[in-house]
Amino acid sequence: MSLPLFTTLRRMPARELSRRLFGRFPQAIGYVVLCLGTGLAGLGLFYLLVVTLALCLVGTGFLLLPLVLRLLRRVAEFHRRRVSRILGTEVVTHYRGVDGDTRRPRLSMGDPAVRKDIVWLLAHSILGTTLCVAAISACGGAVNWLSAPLWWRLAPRERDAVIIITVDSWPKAIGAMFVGVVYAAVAAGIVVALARVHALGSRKVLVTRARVPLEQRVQELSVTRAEALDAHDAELRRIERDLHDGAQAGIVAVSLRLGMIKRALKARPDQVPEMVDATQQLAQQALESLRQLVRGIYPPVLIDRGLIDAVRALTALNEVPTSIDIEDDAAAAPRAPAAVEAAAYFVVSEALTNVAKHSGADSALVRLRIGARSISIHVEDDGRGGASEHAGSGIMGVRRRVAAFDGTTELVSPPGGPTVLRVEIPCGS
Amino acid sequence: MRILIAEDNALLREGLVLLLAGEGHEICATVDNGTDLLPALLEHRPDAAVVDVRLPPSFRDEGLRAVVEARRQIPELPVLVLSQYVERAYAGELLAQSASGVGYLLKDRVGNTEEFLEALDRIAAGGTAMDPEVISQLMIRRAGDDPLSTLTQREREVLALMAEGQSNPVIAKSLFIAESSVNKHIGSIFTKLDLPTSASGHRRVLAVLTYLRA
Repeated sequence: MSLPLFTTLRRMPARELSRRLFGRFPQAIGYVVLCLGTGLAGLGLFYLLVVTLALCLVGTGFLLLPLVLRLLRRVAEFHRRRVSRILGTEVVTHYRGVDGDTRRPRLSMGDPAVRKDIVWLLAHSILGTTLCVAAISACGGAVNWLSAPLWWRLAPRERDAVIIITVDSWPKAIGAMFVGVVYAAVAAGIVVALARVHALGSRKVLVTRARVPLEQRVQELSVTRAEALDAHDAELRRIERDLHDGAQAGIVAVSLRLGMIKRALKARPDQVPEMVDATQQLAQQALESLRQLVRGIYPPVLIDRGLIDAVRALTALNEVPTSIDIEDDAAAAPRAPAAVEAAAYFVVSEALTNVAKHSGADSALVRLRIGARSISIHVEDDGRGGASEHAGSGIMGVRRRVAAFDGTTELVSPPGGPTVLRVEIPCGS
Repeated sequence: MRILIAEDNALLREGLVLLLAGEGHEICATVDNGTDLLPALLEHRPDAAVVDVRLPPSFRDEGLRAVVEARRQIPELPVLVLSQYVERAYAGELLAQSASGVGYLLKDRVGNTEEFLEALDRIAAGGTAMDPEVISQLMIRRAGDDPLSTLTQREREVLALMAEGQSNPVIAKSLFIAESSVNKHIGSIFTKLDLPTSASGHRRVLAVLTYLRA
């Protein structure tokens, strides 16, 4: 199992490697520090809001309320932008607008979006701040250990037990530094994880679904419907083409051979048995291509288990040992359309068939990332490379099927390998 | 004779090569895409070409367009076009230049080896070979006060076979009637449709097809 991981690391470009190792940390720590600030400021704002609401009971609060709500909106919008950046997906909310114009928010306590912002403010100030303090103190500990060789000489005698062990000699200081490296790695992981938890939680509270005017909704729907029809159209054409190239051509070829056999029966009957064998093989090929097409239209396993488990099953069954790496970012988003999932499944299935049939590889890797907007697939093997689109490798079928959804297909396969197939299919929503 | 084959499906291409070579023909070239077809036709000038309508790269009607262009440069270059489906527009484009040395058959017909080889011989000799499906589509199209409706059932059958490019003896044989009856029917058809009765051979086919496409 360690071999594929090793080869993956070895082949990863330096930039990619550093992104993997440190990539998310700077962004995460920035987010955490910022949240600590807005969290503390949020406490003040929340206090202000409570006072204002109390003043509303005697009337004067109504003058102050719009101002406080505008301030709240600013803080919330600012935070939505931070969350968008860290999660890589756009986080937007929908305030009720003046006369239904959502670009001019009315901001009242009756607006569900405003009320959710208030809930967020409280949660962010209390829970969020606690999370951030935990994350930052983890980093502080790491710095403390790491920097032991720098300060242990300077520390006053009675305070030399600053960290768990008493650092009073060079070997101990150097040792502490090494422990610090481990500590730092763990702390970095904690920071990244906490930032993500914070961002995911914030997104949950900060988003209110739009109450879009009916007219606009109808317009949006007709556009997506037209796109869906286009995709459907392309998909039908693909099936027609596959039938044309596969089963239909196969049956015509069988018919042609039978015609030849009929003639041979009179002229050269000794050759007939051999010709019959060849013809039967052709018929079996045609059947096989038909079976594959039917299975490819919508694999039953997708209904039973869903895309992720279906792909897992594919990799587990592959002749070449195949490791798998799945990232599901769309847990909250609706499931991708069935046709898209079927296409994704088909791509992995074709790619793994190729690996088993043509690559001569010892190991392969499937990376599946399911996002809210697209599904990306990365299939890599350590085989001999040199895969081409015209050698009956099925890549043409993959390209065609992916193109039907406006997706992209990229095949990199230099002679000597490795072969990498990258496919991205938009989810069409 | 020297034959050029343009077919993108490897199974079918090999099958055609086997069949035609087995019949003693020389395969002067095989082409598997539309881009190479026109240069190959012009270079080899085969005695007959067997061409699939739909070829890569665009899988539309590359084969047909290459054939039409080749026949513009080499008039009456014998070509047998194979198609997965009957498309009247395709037949129309082919016949627009000349019906001489042109065949348009459904791919399925290659299974009927005798007829396929016979059609190939016919177009190589400058004749016409139209798929019965094409002809029946051409005939169905017309309705109402159309002169075709004045033909008797038998006359319609004779007209259809004539339009396919069959000769009188073949028409007589396939309808189980005497050749003299065929001649009689043809005379009657030409009168009813107001076609030039003097026409014979390919000119006759041409007249019939022109009439049907009008």
